[in-house]
Amino acid sequence: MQALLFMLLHVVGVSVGLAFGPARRVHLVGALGFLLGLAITVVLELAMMCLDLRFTAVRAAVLLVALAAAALVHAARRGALPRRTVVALALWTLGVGVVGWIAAYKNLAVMSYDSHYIVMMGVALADDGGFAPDMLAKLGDYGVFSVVAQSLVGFTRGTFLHGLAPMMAASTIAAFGVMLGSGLDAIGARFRGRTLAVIVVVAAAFSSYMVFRHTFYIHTNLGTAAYLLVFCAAFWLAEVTGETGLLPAAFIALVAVALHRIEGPLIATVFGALAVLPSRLPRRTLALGVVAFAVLTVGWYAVMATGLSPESPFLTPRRCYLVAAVPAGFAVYTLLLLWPRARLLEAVNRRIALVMAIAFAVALACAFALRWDHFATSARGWLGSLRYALYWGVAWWWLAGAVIVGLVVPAPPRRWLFVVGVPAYAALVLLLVWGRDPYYIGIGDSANRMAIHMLPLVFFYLGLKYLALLGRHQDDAPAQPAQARDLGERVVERGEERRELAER
Amino acid sequence: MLRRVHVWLGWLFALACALLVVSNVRLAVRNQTVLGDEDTPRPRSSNIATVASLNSMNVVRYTFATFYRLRVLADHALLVPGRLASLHFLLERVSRLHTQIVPMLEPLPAAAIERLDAQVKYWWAFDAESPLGVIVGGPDDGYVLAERADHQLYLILPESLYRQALGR
Repeated sequence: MQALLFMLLHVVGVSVGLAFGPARRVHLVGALGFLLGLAITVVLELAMMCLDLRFTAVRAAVLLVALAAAALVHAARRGALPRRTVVALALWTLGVGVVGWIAAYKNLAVMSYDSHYIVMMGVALADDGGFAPDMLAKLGDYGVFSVVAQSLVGFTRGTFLHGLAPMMAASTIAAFGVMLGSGLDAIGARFRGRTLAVIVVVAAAFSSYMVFRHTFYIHTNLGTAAYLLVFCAAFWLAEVTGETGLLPAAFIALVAVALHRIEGPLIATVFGALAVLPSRLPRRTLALGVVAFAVLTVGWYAVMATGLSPESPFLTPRRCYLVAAVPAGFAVYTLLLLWPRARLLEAVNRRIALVMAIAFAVALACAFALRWDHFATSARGWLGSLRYALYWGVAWWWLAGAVIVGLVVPAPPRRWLFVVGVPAYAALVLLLVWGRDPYYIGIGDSANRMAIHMLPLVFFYLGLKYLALLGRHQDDAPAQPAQARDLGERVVERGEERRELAER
Repeated sequence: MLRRVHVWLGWLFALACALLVVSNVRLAVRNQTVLGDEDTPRPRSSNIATVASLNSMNVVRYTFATFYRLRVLADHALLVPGRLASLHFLLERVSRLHTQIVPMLEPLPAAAIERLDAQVKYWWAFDAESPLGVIVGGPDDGYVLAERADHQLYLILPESLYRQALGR
């Protein structure tokens, strides 16, 4: 039953991808299908429950099938369903079915207190079909995405979706590989043995024990990592190629990031701002995505604030409004940019990476100055986990080496989303310790788990950077880093030309 | 010249990735008995004997007390340990179904604890110690609330009641 559910979610994601997304990129649509379908279903369920509409398995199945059918009709009208596409996506769907069956065959779930809480709330939601009076107060601890995803257990006869985490991991791996391949295509890096090289990078990104463990661990970290990767990679690809068709997938992923953890809206806004503000993509399209992201995120936080206890150690109504104000402010600012007189702000937007780097550096300096012991203990705990813990192996040492060597290697175009996004995110993780106990050395520590969110991003960026050196363009042009950068700029310019043509 | 260096760097990166994979796999295989955590044992065990043998192998033991455990008892009762907040959540739901909930402040007889202890069939927990401490409350007709010496709380209730509480 779980495998069938995963296939249904995949079909929903693929249909929406074909109708509104990058229909020409068949394998990308196939690889992202499950993740997008899951995010769409979770948002749909959450919206229905917030509107007091009962979400039952039957209703949901009808709704999802109708959504997929409508999207496929729209895709057919767009001419996005040639025979080759249909065959390729049917194979992807079959693949999802097989992987889903394997994931659900044996219950290998790793569970902690948090996992049981998430599962228990999910089961309660599935059975109530909405928010019982006491329910909202219980949903402020972990982020709602995983809970709602687990509530899809109502589609099955099982007690919880033990196959969801492995299925999500498999989808993330597929998405990483396909997006890295597409990224290398976009910057013209074609060479013999590329598929093998991509597979090796994927294996390196997902083979450390810590990440492997989260393949079976029911929590929020793998999902956050998956959707953050999808947002950054899809947006970067859109930026470089000028394909606005990639943006719906990116923004759906951004909403999923925001709903995954209680600090999700902050993470999503940091990466959203780094991507959107300096972007050369059409402002209106971007504003639409940002507003949709903000409405869904702020809407949920506003609903949740009505049910939370002011004494909660995690989210209180006041904290809810404060967190929601961040994406709301981002959306207002993005809308402001549509106003012709706001052109003055473009100077700030172009330098948003620098502004954000300075802002986080100052915030960290202030935090350490004001609470040295607290932050120093946390930093030691976090770095200790990354450096010495067996479950990370040498992954972070390895990454540090690759990053340092990478300083002399030509960079891919439009790299700020990764180059500033990851350090800014690391700073945010440290800042989040302000109102809680210090981080410690341990596999269950928050910061240690949150390090998983940035790992695929770092590997994706390094994969783009190093594997591009092997590309064919190396033969006929650049030996100089500067020239290689020119190549990147040319790719961006080509994207802009395409975009202009599309707009015409 | 620089072009060649770049190409070499590209292949070196791929090779380094492959070495990292080998290192990760070797580490996981060599250290699988110590890569346990405070949440769940690795490798997972499904019976007491395995847990006991794991412990005798001096597998790294982490703080059991902080975490929530779920154990299915042979008589179809569930032992649902957790923090007070989550237990309250279940209790509220149970109390909607069963209005006669009278806290029982007397400790449960030791024999009863032994019986429950012996009935543990599936262990989702990583601990060979006795799962029960002092029983601090619970009604005659449905459930008991237990507290271990380490202050970990458990709710013990029949599976049917647990399902009812969750509306299943």
